[in-house]
Amino acid sequence: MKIPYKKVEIFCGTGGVGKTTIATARALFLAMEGKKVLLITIDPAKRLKQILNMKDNDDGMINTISLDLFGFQKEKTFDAMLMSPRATLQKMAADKDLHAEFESTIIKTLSRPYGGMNEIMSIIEVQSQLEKNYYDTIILDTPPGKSFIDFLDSSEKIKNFFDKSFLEIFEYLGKNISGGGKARNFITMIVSTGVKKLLSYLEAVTGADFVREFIDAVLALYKCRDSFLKALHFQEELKKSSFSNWFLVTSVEQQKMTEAQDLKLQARHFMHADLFLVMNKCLGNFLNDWDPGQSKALVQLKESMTTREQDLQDFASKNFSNVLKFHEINHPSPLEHVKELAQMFLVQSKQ
Amino acid sequence: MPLAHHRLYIITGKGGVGKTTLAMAFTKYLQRKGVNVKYNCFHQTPEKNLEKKLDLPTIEMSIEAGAEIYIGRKLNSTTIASWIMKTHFFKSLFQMIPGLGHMILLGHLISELDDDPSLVIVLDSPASGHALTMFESTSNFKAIFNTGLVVKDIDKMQTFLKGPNNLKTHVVTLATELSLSEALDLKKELDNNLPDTEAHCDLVVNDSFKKFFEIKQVDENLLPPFLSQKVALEENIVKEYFSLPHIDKANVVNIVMDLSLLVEGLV
Repeated sequence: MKIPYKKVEIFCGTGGVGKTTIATARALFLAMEGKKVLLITIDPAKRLKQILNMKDNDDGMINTISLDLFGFQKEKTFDAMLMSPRATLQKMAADKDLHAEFESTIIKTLSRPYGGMNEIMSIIEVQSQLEKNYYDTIILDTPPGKSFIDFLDSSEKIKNFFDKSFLEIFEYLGKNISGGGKARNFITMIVSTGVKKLLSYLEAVTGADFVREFIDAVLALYKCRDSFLKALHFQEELKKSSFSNWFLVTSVEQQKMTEAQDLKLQARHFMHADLFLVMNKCLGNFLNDWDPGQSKALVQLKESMTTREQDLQDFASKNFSNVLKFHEINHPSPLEHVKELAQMFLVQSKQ
Repeated sequence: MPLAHHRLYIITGKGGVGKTTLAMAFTKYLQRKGVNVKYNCFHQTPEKNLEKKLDLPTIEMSIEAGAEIYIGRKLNSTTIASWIMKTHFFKSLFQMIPGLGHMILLGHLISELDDDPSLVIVLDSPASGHALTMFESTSNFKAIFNTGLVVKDIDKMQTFLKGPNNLKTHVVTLATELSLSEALDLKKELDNNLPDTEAHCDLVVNDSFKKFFEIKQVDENLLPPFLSQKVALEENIVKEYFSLPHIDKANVVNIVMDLSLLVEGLV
């Protein structure tokens, strides 16, 4: 099965299935093929860091990895980046001259690695990397499970975020969105009685300081509206098969079949024909070749392991036309895993 | 001697390490012992079918419903609360600040525990990132909400979490170096987030083949290479940490039931 070359490749999965390792292996494989590759991981656990020996302060920076590290030609490289919502936001703030506004406690909290802006900021980051028009392929390693769906939904979030009701609130408070002073006007005040009530209720629960800071934070983000809306365009591009490959990674170890199924259902309308299901950690041949002998315990073990794998296989062939099977690797070093998986991509590309 | 030593058990860890299976198995274990225990799936979609098949006592609440009830209580009006929750402003607030919803959910569970002194809750916390958000949220939001009713509730929550024998967190890991190092990082961060809470955080190794062969008394020399390699890689990890065996069943209900016989060590 030939996997076509695309501008963007996206790796999704339920977590713990080897998604980051496979995305890294894919980057390695494409680099071996002579492609210019950028690997972006937004997995909050930052497994890539361990695999590629990255340090904490690498966050948001592009590192060039020589294939030397994997024992291949050192002239060849690929780039890797740990997604940092903070760094992306700071780049945006610099572009708009909004440094002071972005120092608010709320924005700082929001843009922490676990703060909830990971997905939106990563769309913006990929968008800006694409605009450089330097890479042949950008590989995105998405956060697992629920966050992944949030990632796909983020355009909806952006839309909601800039909903009219925010405009009303700014108007009511006399804040000016386009810059330059504009006095709070009497009619707006009357129109905004509903807003006033809302804010007074909010104040009662959260305190006035929070309301004030939150409005300021929203205002600062609002000034970057065009960057957010531009990211929506990218979201649309992602849906085109001429533009992207999608890899849904699952593993034989994974026990939550329902989760994989949910993911497939929810992700369906974002995906297209070049969607590949990756079955990781397959034991197929190992199990086939194994004679458990007379031991009851081993016979039952083989049976349960075979059934688990067969269940996943049935699910895969029933629901997906493109299935990639990668076998289990028993090796203590994550580097070896990446290397072996890259080899599997190579073998697979010649089939 | 109480049957459960803590009031709130949080089962957390990276994705795919078997948190849900373990949290459900532990709930089943406590239920069998006669504890008034409830399983909570926190921010995840509840696995209703599985919960039913297991006859699992559960406590459920969505973030939106939780927030509405919370605001209703604070303002003494459910009507106003439902109106507030319908505005775009509030919807966006919740979408933009996921930790806020987590905090309210956690607050709910804690007030349930306050209301019923016999109740024990097993919380199946999503991926490690979300567990962190949850713990971070209490201190983060205290910094953000300088005044207001929320701060008092945050104080109350922190008092509960730091109270003697209230909280036990189990960080679940697979028996591999990579998974273990991630679990240790997570444990460190969780310990830092609740600094005055004594030893609330333990590590649990799940799905170990080494342990499985020990229990079944299988001679390791009989194993095929792909299994003996696995066992060799697990050797040092299983020696050092509390470990649960691989379960030789294919069906999730059977896996949970088998595991529930082996989790006494988590109490």
